[in-house]
Amino acid sequence: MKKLLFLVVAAAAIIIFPIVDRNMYHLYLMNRALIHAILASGLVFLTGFAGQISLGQAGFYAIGAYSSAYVTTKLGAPIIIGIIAGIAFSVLAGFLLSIPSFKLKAFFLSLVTIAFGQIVWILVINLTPITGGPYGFFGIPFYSVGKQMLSFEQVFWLLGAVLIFCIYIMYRIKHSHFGRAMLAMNDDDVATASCGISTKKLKIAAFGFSAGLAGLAGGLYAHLAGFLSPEPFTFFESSNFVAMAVVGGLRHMSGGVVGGVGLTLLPEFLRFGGWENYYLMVTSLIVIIIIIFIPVGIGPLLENLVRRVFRLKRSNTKTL
Amino acid sequence: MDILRTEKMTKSFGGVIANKELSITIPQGKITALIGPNGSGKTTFINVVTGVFPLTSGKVFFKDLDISSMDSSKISRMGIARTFQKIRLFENLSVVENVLVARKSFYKSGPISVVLNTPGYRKEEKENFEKAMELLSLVGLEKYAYDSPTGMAYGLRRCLEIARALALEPTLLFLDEPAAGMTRDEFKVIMDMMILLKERGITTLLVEHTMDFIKAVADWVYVLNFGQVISKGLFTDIERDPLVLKAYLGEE
Repeated sequence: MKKLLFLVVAAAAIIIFPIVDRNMYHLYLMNRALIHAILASGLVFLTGFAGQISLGQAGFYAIGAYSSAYVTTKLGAPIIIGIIAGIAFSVLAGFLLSIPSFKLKAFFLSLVTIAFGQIVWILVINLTPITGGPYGFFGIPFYSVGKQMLSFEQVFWLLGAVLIFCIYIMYRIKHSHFGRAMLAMNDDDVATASCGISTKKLKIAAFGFSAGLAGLAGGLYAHLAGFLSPEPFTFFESSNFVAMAVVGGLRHMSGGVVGGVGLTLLPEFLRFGGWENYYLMVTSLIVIIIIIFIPVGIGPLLENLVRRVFRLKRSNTKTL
Repeated sequence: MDILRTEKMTKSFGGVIANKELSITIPQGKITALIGPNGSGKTTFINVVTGVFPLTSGKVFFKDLDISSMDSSKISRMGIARTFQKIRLFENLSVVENVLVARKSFYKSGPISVVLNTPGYRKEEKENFEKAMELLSLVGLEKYAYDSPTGMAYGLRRCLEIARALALEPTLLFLDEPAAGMTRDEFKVIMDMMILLKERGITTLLVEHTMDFIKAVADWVYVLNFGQVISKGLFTDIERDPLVLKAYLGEE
């Protein structure tokens, strides 16, 4: 249970935040941050644990968002069904994208995933009857229970609960025979196969899982925003998601959460009066500095800080 | 009874023929050695039989079952385990986790039981952990169970790789140069272990250059040169075979 301390601290922070900070814009940003945290956690799973690369996560994010928007708006299904449909379509696309990973590695695999992201983006722009194309998709229902719409605070708690549930699932899988096999494959796939493990099945599962989380994030975003346009689904966003996972810590459970929240909020802290043109540049610079000087990521540093505060044994930053 | 049989097994890399129509049989329950000069195709033989490389032509039978076109992981699950010439451990896992990886195919729990952390799964995890610790104590590594293998001495890393291979509960074990780079004391440990494994009924194919080692443990020897068998028999016969001497020492 001590290993899950980080989750308990995160849960406490999620519960307290909207009570302490009543600013609506801050809350909206934090909602976006939690959605990014879910998506970046999926990348931690795929890249940090299973050793596969995806620079096309925005594609799954789009599939989740537009599927859920379509199913709820055009077919009149409840939001929960829409989100589940979004996850299902993303997972299927994830299974398909895992096929090139049987043969391709690193650089070549990342090119294929970029191409995948681009294909989805082009479909989003051109399939106007379904996606609304560049004009956007309007009228997506907001979170509600019965006829009562949820407040931003309640949505924040809902997203927080979903995030913690996802992290818990990841934690369980990582510390099981499946997780060990994935970490082994990350180190050496020939040796993993010699241990009787089908690396193809593992790759299919890892791509499916991370695509599922991206699809879930997409669905959650669609109902939060109420309106979809193609911008959040570009290649730029895909690389931003990878940056979140790397800055947070690719090999750590907390990496996606810390990176997702951190990189969503960082540009906001840098919006000084008169310097608006430069804040994105500074954000990128900070990302580069973190990657060079703290290659394990910010997540493990925070985990150790939490442990120190609670006077627990320091974890091994390499293998947690 | 032969546990493994190859029929005219050929493997070529472009123009280089690494294994040329090899027909080798490995007798069950014995220690068979495969020797030959560098580049004679010994490691390629292991890589082809274990499915790491697809074979170019010919057939491989394991317990009379054709495994020629099977996936490497499936071959391992059938009971053929191996070590690698250049040690391949999982550096990001602890010593005991390295062994546990090879226990994966013995787990029956699916992802749902894992996420729910069911009693059945916990029991399975405990049993496999105990099995892994048992194997670690067999090779004398139990006190390093929670350490990273990265900083360990070469001989210990070699032993860990063997423990990992044994975790598959193999009936046939390929050891690719287990004594390479080891001190005499260390390879005495491996030699004793091989005799113990033989008593337990595990068949071993040994690729090795240390002749004392082969003389001490091997029941049967195959000599390869340029991808072909040039001699086979008891070590005492091989030792005196002029063809073998020529392959190793060159012509006058």
